[in-house]
Amino acid sequence: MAYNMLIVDDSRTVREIMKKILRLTGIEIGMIYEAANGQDGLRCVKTEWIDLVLADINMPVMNGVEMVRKMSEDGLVSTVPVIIVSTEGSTTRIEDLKSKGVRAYIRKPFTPEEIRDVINDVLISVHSVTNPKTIQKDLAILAGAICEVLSKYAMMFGEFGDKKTVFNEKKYFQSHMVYRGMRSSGICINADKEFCRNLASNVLGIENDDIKDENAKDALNELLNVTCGQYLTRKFGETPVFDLAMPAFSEIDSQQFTKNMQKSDSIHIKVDDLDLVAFFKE
Amino acid sequence: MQIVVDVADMKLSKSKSDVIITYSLGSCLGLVAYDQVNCIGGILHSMLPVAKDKSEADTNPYKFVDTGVTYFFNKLFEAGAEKRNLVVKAAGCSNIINQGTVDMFNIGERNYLILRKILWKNDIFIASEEVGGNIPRTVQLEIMTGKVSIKNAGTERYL
Repeated sequence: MAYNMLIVDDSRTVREIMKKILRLTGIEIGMIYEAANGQDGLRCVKTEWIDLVLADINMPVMNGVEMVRKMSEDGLVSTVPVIIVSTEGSTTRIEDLKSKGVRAYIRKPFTPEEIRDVINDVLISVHSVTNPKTIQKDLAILAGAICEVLSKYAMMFGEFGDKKTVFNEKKYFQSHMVYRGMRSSGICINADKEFCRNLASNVLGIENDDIKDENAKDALNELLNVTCGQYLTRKFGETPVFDLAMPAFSEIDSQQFTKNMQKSDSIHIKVDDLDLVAFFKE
Repeated sequence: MQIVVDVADMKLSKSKSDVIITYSLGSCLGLVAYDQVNCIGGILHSMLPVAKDKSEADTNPYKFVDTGVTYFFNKLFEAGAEKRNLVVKAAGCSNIINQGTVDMFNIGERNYLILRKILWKNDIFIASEEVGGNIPRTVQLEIMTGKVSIKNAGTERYL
């Protein structure tokens, strides 16, 4: 995933240094936006997709503290991580900014390596699906969310655990969606076509024979959509705001299905002898 | 095979059985660079920050950090290393207390600052470092793994 960055500093020199450091970090960078004061920075955060803000404190028009305060009021600090880079040394000020949701503070003068390390730490904490233990924990939360949605929405009982390999000629459905916010990732569900038909039949409350492929496809997308919301609530609580993209649908063959099932970061759910595989995919 | 880097010298290798080592870095800079994809690496051991006399730098560029770092990287690239794969680590640059007096010229610190300036201008980060203080250090690079270790006063740690 490419990250969009915003640098808010009235010094063009500092902005150039930051841009160079960002390019050198090895992090995949999308756009680098620049603002010379808090007001322009705030406007940028509201109008563009920003994954990380690097902001100074002492700036004309609107300072960094005011910008963070306004971002905090609008609930933006919880979704867009902010790192303060400033000469300001007041512990009270720093603690106040941290209490408003600022993720890290770097005091000027800094070395490029210090900035790199802090950016890496913040991005890892925000988009942490890299640690194997975290992945396993997150997969269990995801599977729990799927089973709850299946139970409430479709009156179906799902259980997760051992993976099994499937070899048959059946077609499988795949639904994928992305969420962005204080953490960003994607969730993918692969399911047996027969399962999707049963799912649609149960959700819509009509006989299986009357289910068309379109209904099965929509039902899988809806399962993923509701699951995604349920997963985020289970993992992060009620407060954080996330942007959820529309689920994207595709058909896959048994070979791809088996491959996805065997991935170490996937979880297999069994529903009435039918198969469903879920995993995180950016 | 163990390859020893003398003062004001550098050595590099692409043979996986080689270990490159340089002893007793005081205020000198020990710069380790390793291409983690092509398994090529080396150590530079420079004494002084800047070559004031061009002829001296021409005779032995590795003696000075400003000329040494540039020559060292060029030799690595000639050997097949690629900049995007390089992991660069720094050691040494300490302020050695000699017979109770501190180095008035701050050679260690100057060495380190020249290194940082060259790397920053050439878009290279220092991946890790153990510099400064007042201890001598021995630095070793394993070509097979790229592991860099530092020894001093009977202790060893990875950089």
